[in-house]
Amino acid sequence: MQTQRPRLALTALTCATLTSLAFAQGTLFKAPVRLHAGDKMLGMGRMYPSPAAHDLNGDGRFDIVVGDLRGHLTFALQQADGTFASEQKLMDAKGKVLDFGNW
Amino acid sequence: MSPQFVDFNGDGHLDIVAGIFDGSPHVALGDGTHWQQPHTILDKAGERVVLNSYWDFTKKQWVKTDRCDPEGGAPAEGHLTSAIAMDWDHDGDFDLVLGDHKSGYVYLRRNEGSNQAPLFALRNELVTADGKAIHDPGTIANVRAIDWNNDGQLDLMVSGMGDPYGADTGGGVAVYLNQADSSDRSTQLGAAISLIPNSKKVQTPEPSRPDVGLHPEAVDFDGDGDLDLIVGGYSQWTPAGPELNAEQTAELAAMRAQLEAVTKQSEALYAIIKAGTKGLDAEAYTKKYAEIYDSQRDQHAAIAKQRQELSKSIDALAPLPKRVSFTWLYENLTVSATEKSTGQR
Repeated sequence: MQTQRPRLALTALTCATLTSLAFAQGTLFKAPVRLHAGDKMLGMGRMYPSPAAHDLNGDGRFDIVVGDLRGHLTFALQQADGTFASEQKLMDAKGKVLDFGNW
Repeated sequence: MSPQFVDFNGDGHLDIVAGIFDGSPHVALGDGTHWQQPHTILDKAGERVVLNSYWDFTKKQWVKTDRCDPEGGAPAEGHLTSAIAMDWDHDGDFDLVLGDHKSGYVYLRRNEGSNQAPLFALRNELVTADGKAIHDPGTIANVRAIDWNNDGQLDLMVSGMGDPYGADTGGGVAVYLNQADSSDRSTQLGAAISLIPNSKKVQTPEPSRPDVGLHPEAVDFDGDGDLDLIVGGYSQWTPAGPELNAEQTAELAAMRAQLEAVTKQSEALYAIIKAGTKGLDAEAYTKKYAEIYDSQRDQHAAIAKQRQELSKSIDALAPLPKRVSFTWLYENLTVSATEKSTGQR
């Protein structure tokens, strides 16, 4: 069970806008911030990145799996301090890239 | 693509279900440690689950069909690019909810079998909310089954593509709350509640939000008891440029004129292709297109190189609009705001 509040890596721009709020019919959100994985931005440059939260390594913390239009998946493991490690490709049992294929 | 971790075949291990751009849902079965390479989810007749268009991997071409249309026909031509497993009719097995990237509708494909031996119906059903078909004119990027209001019932979160390249409205995220009670044998969705408004693509000097192709996931990111959103998508922005002196201004104008001329050269080449392929059927079109393009290949390459160099030089003086994909966190403040206003935790 996750008990630690993840520490977010923020861009310089978002620092200024963090206090602004987005209001959506009863739901309040902070102004969005870009997520990092390692020293890069999570999913940056991927074709239509599609994240899913899942605890891949069973450490009690959710990790983020990112799919894309090409049908490939990467994952970023959440670390004890709440940050995310660099993205890695999700492989099958034989060590091949898990490939949902495409047209 | 719409990866979803779910025990699709009921063996106690999480599998990965995803709709992809080929037009069908797929599943990668898991054994608790790894996942196998994905396979296509088929209906009870052994045919692919599709909307109206899909990529035929054998023929290597797009195929159109109406064999899966709802009774009475589909409201518009659809193309599935997202799919999730969800027990829509509460009969103990996973049905499929399908997102339509082409026209913006959501469809249901019922499972008439079980998770261990699925028998997916031959036709799609149009998904409605508040008595009307769910329809996002910006087309559907992703669908997710989540319990947004924590009432024990799965709701449907739907996100939009928006205008992917132009200046028209971008994508947003909405949730349709399930108003069925636990005794209902069906999912009954209420009207859309906007979670992230559609982007107006306000040109900021830095990325400020996902503008198009929004792919959301809901998770309690910060452990405060409410669902936050992680959203993949493209941001569009225009960086501020340097102040130009007279010489740079003249140089910029000259480069822009060159770029315009090169663009016209490119358009002229494609006009030849268009004229040469006019009226051909799909197979002949593909063959002729490749034939003409091959004869122009060197010219296309030269034009592409010239455009790239000019664009780079122009960008240094007057930055061009940017379009880059990122993954964003929308932290939900609902719980903390409620606590603050009531003084309760």
